[in-house]
Amino acid sequence: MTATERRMNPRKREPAVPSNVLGMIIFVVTELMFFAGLFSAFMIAEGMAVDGWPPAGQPRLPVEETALNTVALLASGVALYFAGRRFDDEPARATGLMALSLFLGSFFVVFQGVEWVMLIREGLTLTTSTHGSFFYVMVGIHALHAVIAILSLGWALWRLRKGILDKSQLTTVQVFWFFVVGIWPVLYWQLYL
Amino acid sequence: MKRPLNFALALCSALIVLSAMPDVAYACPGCFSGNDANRVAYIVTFVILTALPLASVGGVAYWLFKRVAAAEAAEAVADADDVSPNPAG
Repeated sequence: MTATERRMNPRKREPAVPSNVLGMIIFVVTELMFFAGLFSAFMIAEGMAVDGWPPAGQPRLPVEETALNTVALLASGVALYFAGRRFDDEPARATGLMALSLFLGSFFVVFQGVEWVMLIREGLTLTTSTHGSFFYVMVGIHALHAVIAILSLGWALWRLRKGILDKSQLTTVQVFWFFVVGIWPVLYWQLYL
Repeated sequence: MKRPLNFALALCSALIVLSAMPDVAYACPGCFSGNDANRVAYIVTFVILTALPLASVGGVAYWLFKRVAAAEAAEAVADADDVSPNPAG
């Protein structure tokens, strides 16, 4: 192609970062600040507790069981990362790993739900103490994010099976999923340990 | 000539007296607290809430800059490959 021909038929420029991916990254940054605000409020409340934290007479949180659940969520993140790698080679090969990630994410949310029911039965509710309030608000908001991430991944998997999922859509879902997975160990460390 | 000098002297004296008057302000939770854990919590949250937005926005901006630079470099290579010698000479 000569220089004149190139001027006549300019090549369509691909964006350096797809708009949906960039939009999700900006959204995740705002979410990060939202969680940072929650962490800050929790740390101040914990520091102000004069008779130790968690307050006396409150049910203890299931540390070991939740550690197992944490491993499941982290594994879902790893599975989705490798699903993305496989998608680059041959999109259809990513189906299994995406389904595994979806299953592990759903397991995490269901396990959290069971844990909540048990804690409520033991007497830890949103209004029993500052401890309960922070626990349910912070874990609940994370669970809400996890449910949205599961729905997004389900949508991406459905599109993949139909053969209409493109790379930028998968990356957008991955960014949100990695945020949900990445913020959880910090929550676990702050709330449970 | 004497009046402005007297005024400056009075002003300086007043400023010295005013600067000596305030006591230490105990409103800084990161500086003073009866509960040391609370003081540390305030310091940690100061650091997190100051550094996190700067690090996140800076990190995203740096990543975008790198992506754009890589895309432009790839485009320059593709453009160079496209330019073929003119057969007519």
